[in-house]
Amino acid sequence: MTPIRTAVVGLGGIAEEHLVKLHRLPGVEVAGVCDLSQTLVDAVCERYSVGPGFTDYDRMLGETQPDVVHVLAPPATHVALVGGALQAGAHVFAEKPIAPSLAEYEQMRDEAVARGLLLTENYNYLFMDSTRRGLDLYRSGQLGEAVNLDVSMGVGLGRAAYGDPDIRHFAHDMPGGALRNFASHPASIVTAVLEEWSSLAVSQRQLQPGMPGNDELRAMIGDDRVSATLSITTRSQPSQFTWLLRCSEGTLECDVFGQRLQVIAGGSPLSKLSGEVRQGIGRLGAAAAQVGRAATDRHSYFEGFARLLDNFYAAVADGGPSPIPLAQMDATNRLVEGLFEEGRQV
Amino acid sequence: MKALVTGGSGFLGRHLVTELEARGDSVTAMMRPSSAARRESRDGDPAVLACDLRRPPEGLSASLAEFDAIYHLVAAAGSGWREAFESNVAATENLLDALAAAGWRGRFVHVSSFAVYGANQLARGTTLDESTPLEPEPGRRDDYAWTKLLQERLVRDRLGTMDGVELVVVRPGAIYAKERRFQYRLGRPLGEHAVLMLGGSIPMPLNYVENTASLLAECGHNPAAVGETFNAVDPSPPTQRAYLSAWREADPQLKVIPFPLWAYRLVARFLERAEARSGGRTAPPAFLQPYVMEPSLKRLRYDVSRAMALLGWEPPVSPEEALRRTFPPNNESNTSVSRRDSSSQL
Repeated sequence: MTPIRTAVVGLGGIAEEHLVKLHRLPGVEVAGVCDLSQTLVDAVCERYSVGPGFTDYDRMLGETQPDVVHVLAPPATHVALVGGALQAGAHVFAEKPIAPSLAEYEQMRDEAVARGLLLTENYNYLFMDSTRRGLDLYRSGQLGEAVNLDVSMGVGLGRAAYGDPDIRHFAHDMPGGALRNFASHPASIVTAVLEEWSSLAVSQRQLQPGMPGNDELRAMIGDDRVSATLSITTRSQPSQFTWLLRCSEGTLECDVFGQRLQVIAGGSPLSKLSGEVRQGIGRLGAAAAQVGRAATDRHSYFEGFARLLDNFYAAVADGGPSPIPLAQMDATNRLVEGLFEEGRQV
Repeated sequence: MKALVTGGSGFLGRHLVTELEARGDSVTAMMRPSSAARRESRDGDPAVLACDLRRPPEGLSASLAEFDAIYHLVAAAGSGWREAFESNVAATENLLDALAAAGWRGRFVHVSSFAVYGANQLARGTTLDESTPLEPEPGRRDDYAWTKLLQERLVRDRLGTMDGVELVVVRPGAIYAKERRFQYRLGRPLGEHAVLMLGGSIPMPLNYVENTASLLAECGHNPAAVGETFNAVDPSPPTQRAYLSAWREADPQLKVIPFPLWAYRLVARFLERAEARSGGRTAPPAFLQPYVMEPSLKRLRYDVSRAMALLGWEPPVSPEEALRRTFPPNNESNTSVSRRDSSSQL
């Protein structure tokens, strides 16, 4: 079978995750990597045994004729880089945030749709096992109808990258700054349950002096059927990402980073007791699995990313739809835009 | 002599500035703008050049022309490969570009590291000296070793073609002092006042910071140093146990938890085989990878004679006195064990 030829543009910090995962994917060949710095390109080619390396993006597209391009450069460059890849006939896997604005996202999406190519934004946490199982259970209807959803993400960014006083992080050039750089993760959980909403109220604050921009966001989202809250903070430790979905016949509680899912269903006292026992066993199992992952996989944080890439490349090989439907990417980008829209704050 | 010290506000940089001034040099300390802004200026302080080399600095070339000697100390460890690359490689490349643009001539003393040696390939008991081959598989080492190798290669390649530049390379072992007591060669830090000691009888190639600074200054002044490479390591390296024993005498709160090297190696080899069996789908964290850790845990000998023989230089602080200064009795300011105190992996 002819391998799928992949090119990578933008060799920043996240490139390691992509290159390590691509290396593990059967039937995928990294045909070229590209960045502005020749020294960086050479170093990455040597470190990850990939290549050839390029500093000219158009030349890479022309010479390597990739089937897929991973666009990992800062979001402000995505319209040009994604557009170039699509025009060269390649599917695109883009890092989040896919664009600094909804309009730019829609421009890229329309081009991909017109050309019949895949455009997928990296919502890797949707593909963590705990999240996937929880959402599958919700969609099966066993828990009844969704009532409300609370999604909360706290990441301890510290000053190392986002607060570096000497080098401004690219995230600060987007509306919403560092918060926007993470917003698509919790937003993609919200839009898995709520694709449309009639009300959106947002509160943002800066709680850590000296950091550029706000470091906390809280939003209430809803329609006449379901309500959701979304919160992000960039100054809490340890990092946590949780969601709680209350339905008419049960509740799902998911610890995304901890890879643990609890199903709390109604019923008789006996069935509640057996549910508690199952949860206890589940917690022990999750703790043991965490220890195992810590000892065997330094990339376990990105477990969902490996699954997403598996599904994405299966779609490329089979000509199937993207593992993240365009409707959900549309909704997520609409929500992210709304979170940081001028005048939305309360 | 007019000297420039990059990384002039860092641990080694501060000691080197003091040493050069004691020799009568006119010293300028280069440091990031944020470090320069935090600095409280006092009489007798060296001149400061505020500059972040991680991005191409505007107008630097013009500032460099006045210096007779440049000591290049800028380095970073332990913050991920991209941070290590930016601080160790990109910063060096930007400095070299500015030197080339200025047509600079003078003495360039480059601070490399023991990390560049291919210690995995050495048999137990081998003497590691300046003729030891460099790491043949940098892709398997940690981010620090990889980027220090790239950095030294870059310096040699670029300065080797510049007329009038006298290059000296110094490769220090584990630099230590009272403000930097923890060394990765000891094992792992466990909280604020505990160390997991891997082994115990391994000699550590320590280099007391004032000895490192003295050798660097000697290399900047002594004509016999030009074109040479020197290891910087103190005579009579103490074992891990002897070092921690001195530490415990000064700080009775310190807990040392011995962990047999054979047991550590057993676990690390098991995980390595698991990685091979999984076809690379698992990858243990760096501290559980034998190829990363063995260079720090191998029982080697260290030859310190080259600098003394060629330069007629003697380390000013004896190993006994260095340990006494690092762990003074009735120490009023015991520093805690933490990763921030730790030196780079070697």
